[in-house]
Amino acid sequence: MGIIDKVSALLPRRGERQESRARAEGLVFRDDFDRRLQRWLDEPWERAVIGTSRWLPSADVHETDDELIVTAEVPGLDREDLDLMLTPEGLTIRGEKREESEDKRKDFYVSECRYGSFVRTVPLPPGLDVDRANARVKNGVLTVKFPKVDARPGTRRVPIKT
Amino acid sequence: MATLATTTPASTQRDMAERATRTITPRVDIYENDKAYVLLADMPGVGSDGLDVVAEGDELVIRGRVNHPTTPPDYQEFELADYYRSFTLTEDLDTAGIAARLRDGVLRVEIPKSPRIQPKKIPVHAE
Repeated sequence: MGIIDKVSALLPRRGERQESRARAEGLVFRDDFDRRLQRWLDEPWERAVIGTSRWLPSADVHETDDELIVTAEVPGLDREDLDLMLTPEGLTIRGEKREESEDKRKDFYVSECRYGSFVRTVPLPPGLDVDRANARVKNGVLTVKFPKVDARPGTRRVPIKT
Repeated sequence: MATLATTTPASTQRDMAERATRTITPRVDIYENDKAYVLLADMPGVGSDGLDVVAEGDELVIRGRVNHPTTPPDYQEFELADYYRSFTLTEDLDTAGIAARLRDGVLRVEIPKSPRIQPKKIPVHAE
């Protein structure tokens, strides 16, 4: 033994809030099969289907008066590891978090971090000037900003006669 | 917010309370190689100016502070929160030789094993 975790039980971890809420719900509606099935279907597919080795980065969407801002947690990734695409479905973020290769990692005591590749699409609302989108990644957080446009192209006001 | 105007060093706990932000446990990997224990912690949003790695006695504390966005999110899956986690280091580690590095929101702390427990090749002299 070399490094012993001291207070891990005291502070919440990423995603723990959601998980514990789902668990509490499961206790209340223990016998409600439909609800349990629904909860299983609602689980992030990565956890339900593939297990914990795959991951999807968490994303937030902020909106200010003149832009929409998408942020995603991508610890360990720099711009070389990320690929952003604008598709009809929204903003598609691809990336891969590689395990560091400088060590032969044989003896693990704790393994909580997640590695591997992911694809994640964040749907975007209309009214954004996607051509002027700009993205940066800093300290493991990806930020993509979309300026808003006043009116969508081809949008015209219809006057109402008096 | 900081009503505790004191010249004595504020304890970690009080310090965190003053900031009045959420604090979470970062995910970590801990593994061992021949020469050292290596701790990796995912701390997205933390820059080198917001990071503290303190080894005191047998305790290793990692803390990270993030700059929070001013506008509340419309859709939220994560909240950039401060990070705190502490570990007890056993006697077989050389705390004087700890090295830490932060890159792209991942902290890497390498703690060398005490020289006396590192594998040592014993030369055998042929007669």
